Amino acid sequence: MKSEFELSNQVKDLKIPYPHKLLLSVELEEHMLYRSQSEDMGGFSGEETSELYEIHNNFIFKFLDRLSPKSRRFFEITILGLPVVGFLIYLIKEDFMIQFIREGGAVMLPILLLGFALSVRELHFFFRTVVVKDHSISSLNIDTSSVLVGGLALLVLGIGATALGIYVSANGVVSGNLPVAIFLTGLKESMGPMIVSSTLSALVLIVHFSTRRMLVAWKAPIRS
Amino acid sequence: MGKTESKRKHAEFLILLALLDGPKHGYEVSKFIEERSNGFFRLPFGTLYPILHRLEKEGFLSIELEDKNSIRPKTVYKLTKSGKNQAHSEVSDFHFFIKATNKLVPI
Repeated sequence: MKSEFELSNQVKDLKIPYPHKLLLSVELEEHMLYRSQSEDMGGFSGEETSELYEIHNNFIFKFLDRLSPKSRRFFEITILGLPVVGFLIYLIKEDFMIQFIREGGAVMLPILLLGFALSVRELHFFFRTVVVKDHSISSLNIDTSSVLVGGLALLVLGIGATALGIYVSANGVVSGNLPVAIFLTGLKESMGPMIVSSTLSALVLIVHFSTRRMLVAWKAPIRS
Repeated sequence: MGKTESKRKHAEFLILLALLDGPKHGYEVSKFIEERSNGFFRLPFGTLYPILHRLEKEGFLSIELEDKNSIRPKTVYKLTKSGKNQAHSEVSDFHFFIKATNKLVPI
């Protein structure tokens, strides 16, 4: 026999995603309010808990759940690393992209590193909560402020580097050291950091906030 | 069929019968079964909900949410077309079973 508090905790501890967990928890409360009987106080047996687990979880969750936390993390990072590696191979293979990155100057390196780190982190958040539907407490602890700070830092780096490049080109023309046509080349080359940083920060913010929106729609208790 | 599986099949049949009467909350399904059977059948919480959720996943039931926009929406279970067909087919099998069994019972 379990107390109502223990029954409610049993539902909270079930490994099932939202909104199913919330709906079941409301059903338990309603049931106890209108139909509380001694038979109900046993809660879910092991078999019934497994049945709910089987019904509400997808095969990716079930597969990952069997792995140790270390292997699971390795597997998830490998899966998410594949598109990033694919994109890097594309960058290396395309002469145009190599030229584009080179023209952006040294600032392209921190922009790319920060941008990829934030992208992988947000893709991991999306993968875990939307694709795998792992709605454990740790997965629902969302750090929105660090995403905003990271995205903003990325934009500041890109816009700052572009503005500086434009200033240097304009200064060269104004001081009479360079022909006017060179200004256009300088302008073109300075755009790289802004293009890359704004694209990556937009990607990071879109993934983060759309994932957050989906979790809110599923009534998952996210903690910021 | 094992004992658990047979018990589950019976519970599934009772749930389908309760929902043939009309859409219901989970606790109303349990109440309906117990009251109509004069307390002979009882479906505890732990047995009832996994079966309701399984039937929903199999497409025999649909879920409607009451107070959809509230932070604690309530679930109402309703038979789908295939759920109604399944229920009617199980009722008809049950009648055949009763008829056949009656012929075996000594008077």
